[in-house]
Amino acid sequence: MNLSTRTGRVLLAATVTLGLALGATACGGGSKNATSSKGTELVGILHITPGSAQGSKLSGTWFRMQEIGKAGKYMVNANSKADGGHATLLAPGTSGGLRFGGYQSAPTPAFDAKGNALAAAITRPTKFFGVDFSISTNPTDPQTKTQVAPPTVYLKDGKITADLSAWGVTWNNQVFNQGAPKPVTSTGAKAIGQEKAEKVWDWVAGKYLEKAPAATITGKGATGTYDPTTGKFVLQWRSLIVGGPFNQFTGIWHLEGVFKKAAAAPSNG
Amino acid sequence: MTTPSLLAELTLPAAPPVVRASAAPVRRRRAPALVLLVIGSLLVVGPIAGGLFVKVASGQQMIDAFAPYITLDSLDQYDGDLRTLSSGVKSVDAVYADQKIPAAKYPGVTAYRTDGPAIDRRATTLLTRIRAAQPDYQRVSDIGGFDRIPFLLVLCGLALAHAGAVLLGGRRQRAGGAVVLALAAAVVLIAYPLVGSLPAGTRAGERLQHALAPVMTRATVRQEQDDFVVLVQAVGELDTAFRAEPRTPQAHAQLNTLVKAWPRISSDLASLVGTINDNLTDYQALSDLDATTSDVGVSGLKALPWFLVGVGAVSALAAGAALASQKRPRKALA
Repeated sequence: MNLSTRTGRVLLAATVTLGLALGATACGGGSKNATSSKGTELVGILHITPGSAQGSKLSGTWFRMQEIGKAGKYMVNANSKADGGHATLLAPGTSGGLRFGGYQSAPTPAFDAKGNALAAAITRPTKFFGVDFSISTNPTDPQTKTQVAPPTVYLKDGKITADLSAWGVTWNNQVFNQGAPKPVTSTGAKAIGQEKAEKVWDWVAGKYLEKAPAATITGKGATGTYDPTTGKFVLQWRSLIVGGPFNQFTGIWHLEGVFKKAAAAPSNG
Repeated sequence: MTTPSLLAELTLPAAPPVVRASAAPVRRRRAPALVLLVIGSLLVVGPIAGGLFVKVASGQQMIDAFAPYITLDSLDQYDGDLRTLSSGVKSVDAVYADQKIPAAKYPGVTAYRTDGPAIDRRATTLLTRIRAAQPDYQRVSDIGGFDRIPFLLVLCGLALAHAGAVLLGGRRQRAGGAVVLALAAAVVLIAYPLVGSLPAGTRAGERLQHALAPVMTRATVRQEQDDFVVLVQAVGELDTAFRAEPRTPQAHAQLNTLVKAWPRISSDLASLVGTINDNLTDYQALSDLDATTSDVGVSGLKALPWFLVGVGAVSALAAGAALASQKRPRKALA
């Protein structure tokens, strides 16, 4: 074989491999290139304040589950006394709260024999209809099977916006994404080889047609406030459950706490 | 002195012209090659244009997704769950009657009392349908490689189209190979359904698709979600405030059983409802596949294996005709 032809083929193969790897990385998570337009990225841990309730007035960290299509009507969790069971209070887990800039993945297995969720880093497992539920953030969302960015938060003009697309709930052997924005599901039926072909096409389209890869998230992120002086932090969002047994129920989440800067976490945690 | 010539001049008679024997001209009939080309092209274009790849993959995904729920053991467990829920309603009725409990005191448990029998009927109907469909489900899942059928069609189509094109316009020396290729593709198309369990599987698939039609709807999922909310709220109250209500030992035992079994029951129900919900699109794709030939009054699923056999047979005949045509010398021109 002609040396130059062989070298050319090796170079071509290397270029394609590199391109595929870069393409896969681009598909896999959020880019930090837009940091300047989004504001300043905060990397560290939101040490969450435990939830508390006085009558229907809630503070700290809590969540509610709204019934399908019934604005203001929430599921009554008999295991919670907050707001007559209409809200469930959350307490910090072993990490003290939510890490920005890294994942806090669900353990394996994610459940005990009775369906209680075992993830305990972000919040302490909490009874919900008789079974412990918990939170985790995973590189691949367990429900949608979509690769998602780690939780990220940006501060701009005193307001914060967060990508919590990795926010996933585990309860009673079920997993459902409760993030904001929402991951686009990757669980649709695909013909053999279709997934790889789509990845190659995304790469080719991105490289030669200057076309952005298909979006992996949709909708708005979480919003809130942050006081850089005290570190006081409030973050809230609504998340529609898409798919699974609780399809079309809506989770309403409210996180309060104190943000402490920390080094970026390992990419998979 | 002169040397006499040793060789006399030889005069040869003029030789007749040499005529090279040429092969007998072959009549290349175009019809068989055209048939192969058209069939091949349709087999390549049809599955792609008709979305067959995604429809078949959807069917396969649905079959795989239901695998854990449609076993006899799993169905027996669901029956047990329903018995526990039904006993719970009777026990709650007894406690309400004995203690003269006002309906408004435990809204969740009261809703369970009221809706319990209807919830039980709906769940029983759903499970009865699924249980009845279990043998057909098994036959469908036994097909194996269902999602590879479009690839088979396209590959055979490419082979047939290539053979047809060669026979039509390629070099004559390649005609034999083209005929062999076409015959091989035809044999694959005929053999695949007959050797495997495809006819039985697709017949079962058609029955399964009709049997699950009332189950695989948004309305069913929505109703099951509503029923789940009633149950989950009731068990929550049974496990907390309602525990204070005096009750007979029998009612106490039955309600305790319900509360203890609830995590498993709710997991079973949630998993099944979730699987139904997440496969509605897959089910629709399978229905669309079955309806592909509805215009001619035939089930697409049932027709699929015989379509393969038919196409294979026509292709084999066309390849055979092409072969015969290659061998037959043309009659000498008068």
